[in-house]
Amino acid sequence: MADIDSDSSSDSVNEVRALLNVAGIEPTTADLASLGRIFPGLRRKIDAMYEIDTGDEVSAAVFRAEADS
Amino acid sequence: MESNSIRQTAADLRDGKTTSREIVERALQASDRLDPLLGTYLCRFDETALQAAEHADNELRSGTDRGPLHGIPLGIKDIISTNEGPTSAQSLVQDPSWGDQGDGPLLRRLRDAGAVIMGKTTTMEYAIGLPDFEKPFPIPRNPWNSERWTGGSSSGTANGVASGQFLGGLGTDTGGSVRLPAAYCGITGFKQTFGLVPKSGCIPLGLSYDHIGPMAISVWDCAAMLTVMAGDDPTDRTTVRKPSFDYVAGIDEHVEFGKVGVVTNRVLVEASSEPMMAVFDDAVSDLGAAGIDFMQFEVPHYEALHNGAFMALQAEAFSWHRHQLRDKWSEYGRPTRLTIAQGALISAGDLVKIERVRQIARKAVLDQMDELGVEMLLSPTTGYAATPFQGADRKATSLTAMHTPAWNSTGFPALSVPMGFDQDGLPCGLQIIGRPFKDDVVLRLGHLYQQLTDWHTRVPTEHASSLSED
Repeated sequence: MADIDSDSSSDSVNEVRALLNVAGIEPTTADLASLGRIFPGLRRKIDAMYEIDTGDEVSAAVFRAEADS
Repeated sequence: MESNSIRQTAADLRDGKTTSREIVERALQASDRLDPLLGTYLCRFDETALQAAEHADNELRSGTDRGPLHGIPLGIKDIISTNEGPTSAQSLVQDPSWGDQGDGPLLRRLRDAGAVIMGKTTTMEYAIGLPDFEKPFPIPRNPWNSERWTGGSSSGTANGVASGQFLGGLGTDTGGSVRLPAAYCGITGFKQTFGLVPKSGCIPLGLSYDHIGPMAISVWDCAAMLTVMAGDDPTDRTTVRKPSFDYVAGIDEHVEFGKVGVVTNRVLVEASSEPMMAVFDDAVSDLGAAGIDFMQFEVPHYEALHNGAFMALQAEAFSWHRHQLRDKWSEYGRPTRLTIAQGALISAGDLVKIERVRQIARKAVLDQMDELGVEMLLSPTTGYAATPFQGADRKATSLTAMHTPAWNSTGFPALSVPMGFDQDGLPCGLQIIGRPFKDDVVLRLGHLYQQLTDWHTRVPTEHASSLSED
């Protein structure tokens, strides 16, 4: 299990590094490690959003408070 | 009536018992003593405040009365630009020239209503970090216990009102940043319906979740501020055109409220301490004794609304900070940069999904309220009272902040009023949530609660001053 966690963490760090590099951001090693630890939990929360059926609702590029009120 | 309230002070001004100059001088003297202890201000505008106070007095003497805020000292959170400048966002990164734009529409409205702007108040870096002892900024401390945090991010506005350094002020609320420090500091704070108040002149955090809201001793005071603040503005495309509304008029009149739902979601109950839930139960009982009809209410998609708020605001914040993060990564506080950088880890498709969930979840809440005939919802504002600086880590902070961000996702109005004290003598907040643009109904229920109780009139004994006539 420890090896799996270690690989997973390494994957996460690499993925985070790649995503931040797209924006030209080069975080410190310590910050990259922290984001690597945060990333799996963030992904789980994002993936949970896809479990919710949103049907054919259109996306909201601009949030409109008056809708449905 | 409440000491240090806008309502009482406005009455005293008109009765000739005091002047705006006297009130502002007392406020400045209070800040000379309390600000070094509590970390309220980033910048004080003593000279211009005294000038504004004298102008307000002259106008009142000559018969010009601009309403309840005339001559009233207010504090402004330092992510909102003002004519006096600067705007630092409590960050070493922020370009000081950003504040050169001066007053936005909200500051202009407050000044037109005669308010006296006292200065810029402390926050967390860009309204999202944590208390940062490594940066050269004041640490905002809780007037009820200075070893505890004020909550954030409208920290200085909250502790300034609670300690009597000004009578009201502006905070901003993207995930609870008006309501949470209001609860921690024992004052009243209101996040009105999204779109009711313009945000131009405010550094955005998550633009579709951000609200600028009033903070003061009482609901009446917040209603008086909102009356001035509300209204669309062409410089903020998220504002909604609505007829002007006086939120104070009729607030004392008896009205019949519909059913009120007590939020029962397990995730919220589990994120609340036993003392907090005991105080909350007492508050519900007080309102029940006044004839409010309660029922239990399980908020649909609560966790999606909560998590979605954090993820989307991170994505929105990242879009604003991207270049600065690239160029000045190490100049940001560590909690700030780690939080905002998570926005880069959310894909465009993810954000679209989050926003779609937000829409259907919002509709599901409204549909359930319709189906059950529920007009408002109640919960504690926070799970715990003010957290100590020792141990105020991100996990503890996020646990206590489970109760507020969902209502930024829906855009519904949400009010925090003091509802008592926990076993350590720390204030606890009651959150009242309403339907969109039924801000007046929420304020009326909050005002009723403050007629039934005196929690909002309590002041911290050690770190407080009185701006009213003794």
